[in-house]
Amino acid sequence: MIKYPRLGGTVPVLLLLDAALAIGLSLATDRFATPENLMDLVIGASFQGTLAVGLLVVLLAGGLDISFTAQASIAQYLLVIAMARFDVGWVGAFAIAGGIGLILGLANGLLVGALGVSPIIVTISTLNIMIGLLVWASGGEWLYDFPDWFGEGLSLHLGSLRVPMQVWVFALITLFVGFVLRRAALGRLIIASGADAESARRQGVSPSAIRLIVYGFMGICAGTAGLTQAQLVLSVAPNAFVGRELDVLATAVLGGASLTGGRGTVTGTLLALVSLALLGNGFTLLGVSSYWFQAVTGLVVIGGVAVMVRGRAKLGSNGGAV
Amino acid sequence: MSGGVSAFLVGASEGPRRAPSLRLLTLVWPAEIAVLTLATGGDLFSVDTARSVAFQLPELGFLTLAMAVVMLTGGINLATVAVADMSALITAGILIRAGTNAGPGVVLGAVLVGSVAATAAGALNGVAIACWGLPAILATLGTMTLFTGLSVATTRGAALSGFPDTLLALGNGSVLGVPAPMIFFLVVAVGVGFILTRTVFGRNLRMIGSNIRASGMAGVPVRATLVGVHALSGFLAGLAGLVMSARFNSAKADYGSSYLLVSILAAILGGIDPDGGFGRLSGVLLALLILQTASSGLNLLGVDQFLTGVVWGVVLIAVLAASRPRGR
Repeated sequence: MIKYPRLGGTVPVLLLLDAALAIGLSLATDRFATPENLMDLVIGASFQGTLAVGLLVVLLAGGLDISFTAQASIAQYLLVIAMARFDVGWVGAFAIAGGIGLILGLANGLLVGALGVSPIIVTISTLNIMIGLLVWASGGEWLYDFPDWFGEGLSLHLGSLRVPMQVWVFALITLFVGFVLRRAALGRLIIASGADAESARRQGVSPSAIRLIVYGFMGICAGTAGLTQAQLVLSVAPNAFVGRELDVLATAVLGGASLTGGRGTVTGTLLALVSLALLGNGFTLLGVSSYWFQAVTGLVVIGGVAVMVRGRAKLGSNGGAV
Repeated sequence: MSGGVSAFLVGASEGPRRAPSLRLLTLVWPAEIAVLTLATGGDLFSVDTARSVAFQLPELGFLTLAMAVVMLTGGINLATVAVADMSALITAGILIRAGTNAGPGVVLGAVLVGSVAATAAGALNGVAIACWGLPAILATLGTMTLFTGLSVATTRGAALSGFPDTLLALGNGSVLGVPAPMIFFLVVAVGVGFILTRTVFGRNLRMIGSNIRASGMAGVPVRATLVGVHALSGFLAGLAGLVMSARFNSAKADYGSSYLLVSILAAILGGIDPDGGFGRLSGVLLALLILQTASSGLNLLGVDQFLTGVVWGVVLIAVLAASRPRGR
């Protein structure tokens, strides 16, 4: 039986959750419903969002990646070194960061295909290799030396509204993914190979081509996210994103993406991103110690996914033990 | 297909992976000792090194057992280190309130509470996977965040230290020259080996790992077995936390975080099939000796700890490549 991704399911639940959180926070605090806070919220969420949208594509094809934080770190570190030596300009900066991410992502895709083992094990290995090499080679040193043009950013002006590059780059990638998944043949092929691998192969879809495309695209997203995040905080630390993998995976999965492939939507991912961002923002505004945020994220992931998969995955019918 | 991840991207495995044979592993260890002895100018081949290997191996050993039993069902447990630290913090919290003069009864009670907490934490993974239908990766990644979050939030990330001597002996003492944690580990490993090979529960584990759907149809209590094996995994992770805190005389939310990759590597190098169903503990014990010796050797050679992590990742990928199933 072929299962097409449903738009129903998680979307209404997430909409309700987001609305409840937004209304609750507006009533509970004065600062929530201010333009500054809302813009900060979007800027802050764009890094996680860019990665989540990239991961969604990998998940749809039936893959998994948790090494993207290392890809983002390596891309931004090498980018900052390159910018200090050469006058690369914005186009060059995006090409360098995206290109490094692409190479690292393709390496993941090749390894997952060649080893024939669960991609979680492959990408845990590559995560350790990538971050280990970066921390060792850099000596753990932070970089603060940015060219002036990079520090100024590349904001977009829509009337009186200033849209920082973190936001519009994220929006562009999201629109692109949404378009490809819904309107382009490639998107249907990616979803088809995740939903029913054997059928897709018999239709002539090349597994290795899809694999390289999705892991490579994840790498591009990671490199780009590394660039915009470096522009936002104007510092680069080799281990800055350690531990952020789960937040990103949680965003995609809470948004309705299935770890067994073929199911998931951009809309769901965005709504889940908003919920997690509102939750984090709420913790900050209400003055709850950020230490508790991690524990709550864990609870939300387990609870949210448990509610979502109810009645969907029958244990054993789809290898639910894995 | 026994994996939850699409066979399309993983490559459908035809039969079990060709794990490194026991004979090969028994050859690798002496060869490794010889090479590292030469490389370190004889420093590796000393009583001190042997003792340090024997003192450090149990921590990784318990975490590897915790990983291996779950892997036999075709699952994975990413929360082992988080459970180990949480359990150690609970035990430490009780003992610090009791003071360093606490009697054996109090110590035993504190250890028991920590172990029960670890077992319950593991069982929660099992329930999330078997009853709520979460994929093991997601369930254990979620509880990893939850438990680490709780540990960090309650301790503000600080270390709890100051254990009674009775407990410290478990981490640093020796019996007839053999380190106490090593004896403790071997006893538990034999017990786990017995459970895996001589009990119905152990047989059911492998059956679930080979084919979960067929096991269910054949009357294997799939849910109960999965909850049981995750509880066992949590218990074993708790023991890792115990020996770790006894050796350091302190407990902290992020101790041993680098062990996660190494424990997966040790299990797979030892011949546990990550797709489930196949594997023996004797191989895992040999793999642990190989890895711990390598770790001590690299340490003696002055290799950066992050570079050591890189080495583990490369070795794991190499082992996976070598054990690729034939006949696709």
